[in-house]
Amino acid sequence: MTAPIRDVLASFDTSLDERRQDRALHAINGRLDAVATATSATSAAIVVPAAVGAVVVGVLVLFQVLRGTPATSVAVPSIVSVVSSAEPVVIRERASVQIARGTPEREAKAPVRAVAPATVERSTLSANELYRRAEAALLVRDRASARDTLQQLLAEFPTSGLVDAARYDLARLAVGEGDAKRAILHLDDVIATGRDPNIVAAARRLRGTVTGE
Amino acid sequence: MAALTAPKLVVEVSPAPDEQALVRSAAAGARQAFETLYRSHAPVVFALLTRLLGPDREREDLLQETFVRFHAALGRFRGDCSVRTFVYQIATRVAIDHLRRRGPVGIDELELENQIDPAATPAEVMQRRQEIVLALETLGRLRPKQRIAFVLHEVMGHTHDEVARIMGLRSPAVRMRVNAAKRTLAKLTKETR
Repeated sequence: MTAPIRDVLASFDTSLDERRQDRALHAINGRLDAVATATSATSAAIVVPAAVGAVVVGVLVLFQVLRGTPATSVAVPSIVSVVSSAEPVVIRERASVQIARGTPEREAKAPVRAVAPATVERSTLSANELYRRAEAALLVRDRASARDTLQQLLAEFPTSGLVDAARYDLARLAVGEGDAKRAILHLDDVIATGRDPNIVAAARRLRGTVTGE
Repeated sequence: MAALTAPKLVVEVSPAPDEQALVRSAAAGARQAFETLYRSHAPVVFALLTRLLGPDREREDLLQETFVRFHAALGRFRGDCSVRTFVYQIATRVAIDHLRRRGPVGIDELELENQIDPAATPAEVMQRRQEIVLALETLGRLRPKQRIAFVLHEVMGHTHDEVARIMGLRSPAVRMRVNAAKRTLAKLTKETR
């Protein structure tokens, strides 16, 4: 009795074309970069106050030593011993624990929300790096940065192989913002000049959805 | 379009030696090693997600989620199963989370269209659409874990032991879930006729 359902599921086209595979990899790399950035930022946030604390305690120790109190009787907070022993690895471990206690999945996801990775800047970034930044921005729902970065990609690399994907993403962003007119402009660009047949087909479908045709 | 019988994806007991080295490198931060693992497993993970969820628009996002979690979990991979099984374990958890969040049936018109042969006649298109929608609606009545056990065993051809390894269950528990799923589906199919 379950054979028809089994046959339908077995008949699905499950292929993952190269473009989708690359696109997903770009996004994954963007998320991993965002996690790494957030982790190092959190490490810094812990190390700097700890260093300040070390200085304060050091002054106290010196003060007590000058007053004649034996150094061994001074209670030194543990964080100071970590800092003064110059083992930043320990501090980094603490940082990662603070980011997300629990499953590795949460560790991977939590910092993404804490960072705005798509800072648009005139630099020597490649088209791939710009696209990755835009995707990282999309992942944290930073639509403005994503849009700016994609537009920067189009302006700086008009012949890049990522132009079709960037235009298509700009169209999707516009759809998400309810701006059908702008979405159609981008989609028409993709349909007219696109080189990737998969993206062109997707653009045609999205245009049909937007215009209700 | 794909053939009517899904190819069985072999779940090895232990990882190939070169994969172990890749996992170690990737866990140590080598992005190239991670990308090699991704290239090797992404197509089968995508296929798995498609069979588990149907033509769901979010499959690509779920593929990303699977590999982000895989990257985070590399450090705890002990080599007691294959990398493929390890990735499948993560992908099925991602799929379960998605099913619970999305609800049982997530048919996307555009993705559904991609599952229909462009050369099909209008009557064939109509029939194929009805088949897919009915199958997914019926499957949507199962609990997520039952659904996954059913698809892994009945559609993808994994043994009960392999499914147990993927789902983190014992083999009899898998057998029970698959049988319960089959009973429920048979009953629902009878009702809809």
